[in-house]
Order: sequence, then C-alpha cells, then structure tokens
Amino acid sequence: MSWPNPATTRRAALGGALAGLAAATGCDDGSTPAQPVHGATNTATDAATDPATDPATDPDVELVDRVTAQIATAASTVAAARRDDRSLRPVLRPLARLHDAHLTELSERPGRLEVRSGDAPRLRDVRAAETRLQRQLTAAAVAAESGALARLLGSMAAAVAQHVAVLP
Amino acid sequence: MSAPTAYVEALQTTLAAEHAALYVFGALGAQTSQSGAPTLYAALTEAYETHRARRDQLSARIRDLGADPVPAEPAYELPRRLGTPDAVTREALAVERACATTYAYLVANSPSAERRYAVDLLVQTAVRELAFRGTPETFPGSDEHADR
Repeated sequence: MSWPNPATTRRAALGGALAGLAAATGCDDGSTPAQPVHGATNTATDAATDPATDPATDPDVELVDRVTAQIATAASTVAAARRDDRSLRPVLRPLARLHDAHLTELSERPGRLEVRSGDAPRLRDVRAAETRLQRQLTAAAVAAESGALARLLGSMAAAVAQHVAVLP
Repeated sequence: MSAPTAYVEALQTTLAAEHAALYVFGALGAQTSQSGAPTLYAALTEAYETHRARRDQLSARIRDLGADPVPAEPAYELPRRLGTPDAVTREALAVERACATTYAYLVANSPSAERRYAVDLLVQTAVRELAFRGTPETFPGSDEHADR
C-alpha cells in the first residue's frame, strides 16, 4: 500500500481536525457551543505552532496512523468485493467514496489502495468489515487526546454506521 | 464529584438542545396522522421517546456532576408550514441533523472517560436521520469537514 509521507500526513490530519472544529455549531435552539477545551490545542492557528501538533511529540500521531490503516483495511474489502462482483459495484460505490473521503481527511490525499487478495468478499463480509471499522473508529474517538480529533473520528464512526444501515 | 467546567457546560448545551428537540418532535407528532401516515408517525414517536430518554439521562448526569440541569424554555419557535407529511419529515430531519452537530460538539468537549456516551449519541442520531429520508453523509455532525 502506498500512503503519503507520514510526517505530512500526521500534521495535516491533526491540523485539519482542529481547523474543522473552529466551525462548530449547536442545535437550532439558539445556543452556540463554545470552542473545545479538551485536547492539546484549540484552533487551527495553534495547530501551526503548538508543539502538540508536532508529529514528533503529538500523542495522537500513532492513533491517526492506526485509524488510517483500519480504514484502509475496510476499504480494501470493499474494493475487492466491487472488483469480483459486478452487481456490488453500484451498491458499494458510496462506501468506497466514504473511505476515500475519510482517508483524504486524515492524510490530505488518498493513497493507492491495495485491494485484498483471496476469496471474493461477499456483502456480508463487507458488512462485517464496516461494523468492525465503526467500533474501531468509536474506540479511537474515545482514546484521542485532542477533542477536535475525537469529534472527527466520532463523525466518521457515525458515517460508517449510516452507510451500513442502508446496505441491502 | 469534580468535573471540568467545559464538560458540564457542554452537557448543559446538549440538554438545552434536547429540550428543543423534544418540543419540536411533540409538535411534529401532533401534526401527523397516525392512520394517514403510520410510518412517519411511528418514526416521530420513536424519536420523541428517544429524545425524552436522552433528556432524562443528560439531566441525571449533570446532577451527578453537582450542577443544576438547564430548564426547558416555555416554548420554542416552530416552522410555520407543517401541514404535510413532507414538511414534517423535512423538519424532523433538520432537528436530527442539528442534534448530531451538538453531539459532535459534546464529543469534542468530553473527557476521554466520558466520551463514549457522546459518540454513541452521535452514531445513533446519525442512523435515526435515515428514518426521515436522510441519506448517508460523509461527516455527520461535522459538515465543515465535508466542505473543505
């Protein structure tokens, strides 16, 4: 599998998560949630200078690497299923795009996906892989030091859950 | 029990959102015919019961942390046109999506030991959106990531 330069990936992932949180909004009841306070940094500006976003010291770097690999594993199962079963191509296209978007969010550009070999995955294999990924993303959100990264990973877990719910 | 102030405030914000959601879902249910739109009515009823349970859970958590839960407002502004199942469905989806945004905020502001609860709320709400003709999203509750 080919992934972007790890240092660039890690910095971009954490900085990107922080930048995204700056736009946080609340329910339409007139309340406006404040900015996050948990985690090492609070703003995208901080991400550029705060040592907490330095790949060498940021406690979330390994977590992002692990999550990236977990998403890639699930994406590989989807890619193999689409490769080997033409009828699944349209059905699984949204999942493939989802993984691509999530990997891009964590790494700024998607890597070349290595499609898994072996027996052709069936739809139930894809569902199992996605359910596993949802659990992994939830666990990663809980484990993240940065509140902003936790929010991003929780959102990814929710997205996977939505996509699993609409699988035939 | 001492908890970070920001976490308590985030819980209060989420509770305020639940108060509003509960109010709106009650109104949406009242605008929906059980016999004429049974599927929608059932989805609204389930949503109402779920938000009521969350309100109670959040209130209990806030009390456990030594704070007074924020009360509901006497009333909340409702959309003007709710006369059709389509309009009710759209509003229900909008409420769930707005709540997903609030849950995502709660995720960001929860200490790690408390965060799973917030993530579970976010996941459950994202899936519930589908009952109101929502389509799977890329970043539920975090639209700004999709926009970049």
